[in-house]
Amino acid sequence: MSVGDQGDVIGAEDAAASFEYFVDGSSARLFTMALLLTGRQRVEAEDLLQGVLERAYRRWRRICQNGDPEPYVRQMLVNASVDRWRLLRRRPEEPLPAAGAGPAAGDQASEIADRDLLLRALALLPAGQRAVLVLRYFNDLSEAQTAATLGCSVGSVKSQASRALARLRVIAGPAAGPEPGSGAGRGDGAVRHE
Amino acid sequence: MSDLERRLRAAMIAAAEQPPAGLMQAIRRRHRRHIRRGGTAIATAATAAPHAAPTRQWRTRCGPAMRRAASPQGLPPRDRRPR
Repeated sequence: MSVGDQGDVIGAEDAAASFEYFVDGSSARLFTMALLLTGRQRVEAEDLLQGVLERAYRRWRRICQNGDPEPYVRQMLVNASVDRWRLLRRRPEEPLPAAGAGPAAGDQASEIADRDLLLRALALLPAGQRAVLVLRYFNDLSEAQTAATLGCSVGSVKSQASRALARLRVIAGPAAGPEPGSGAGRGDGAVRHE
Repeated sequence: MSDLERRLRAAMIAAAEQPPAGLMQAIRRRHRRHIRRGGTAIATAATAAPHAAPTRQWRTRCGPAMRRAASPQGLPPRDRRPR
């Protein structure tokens, strides 16, 4: 990225320009991530992203000094979503309307329905578990990178991911049935994010 | 990667959406509000400081304020107990 090369001291105007450049380039990815983190609540996701980007704008020069700003902003987004979730506390789980039969192969409508079911199940997970899954599967981060972003150990990421997937299987129903050898059968879903 | 993980990844990628229009303007608006709020806080503190200073001086001159004796068993006084 051309903005914020290491060790550069950038002026206020340059900072504003590089921030706009950054927002142009990564807002779509960050917005989708915010949507996934908030359980696809569009208004909340917009508010979360705006708040995070405004805070990033305030300290943009410092953020740019460390190189690529995206991992930092991503971390801010995850932290803000977990904080928000803690404020709102846990919402009672709502049973999802049962998806009749599993998705038939090649059937686009049922594929969309399956995706929708999975995303709704994702929204029911605690914010910490959701953040692990979003970082691992949407941002394609490794376990170590996810741990660094969340500020926890690799073991914690593994256990959270395993519990989250086990829970997804339970919530999303038979369409997301267990696979042999996935190693994610542990945990009962009664997991709280620390 | 298990089947569920693959499907989850596909679902997340398919969930991609365009950011709201006018995002940059919204960020700037928030930023201006933040700065305005900070300015208001400083102005309030500057206005309140001269009023607070004499009170502190008076307290310093007259010694520490009298404290009410604690009620037995550490309970709050009867009139302050929650009903």
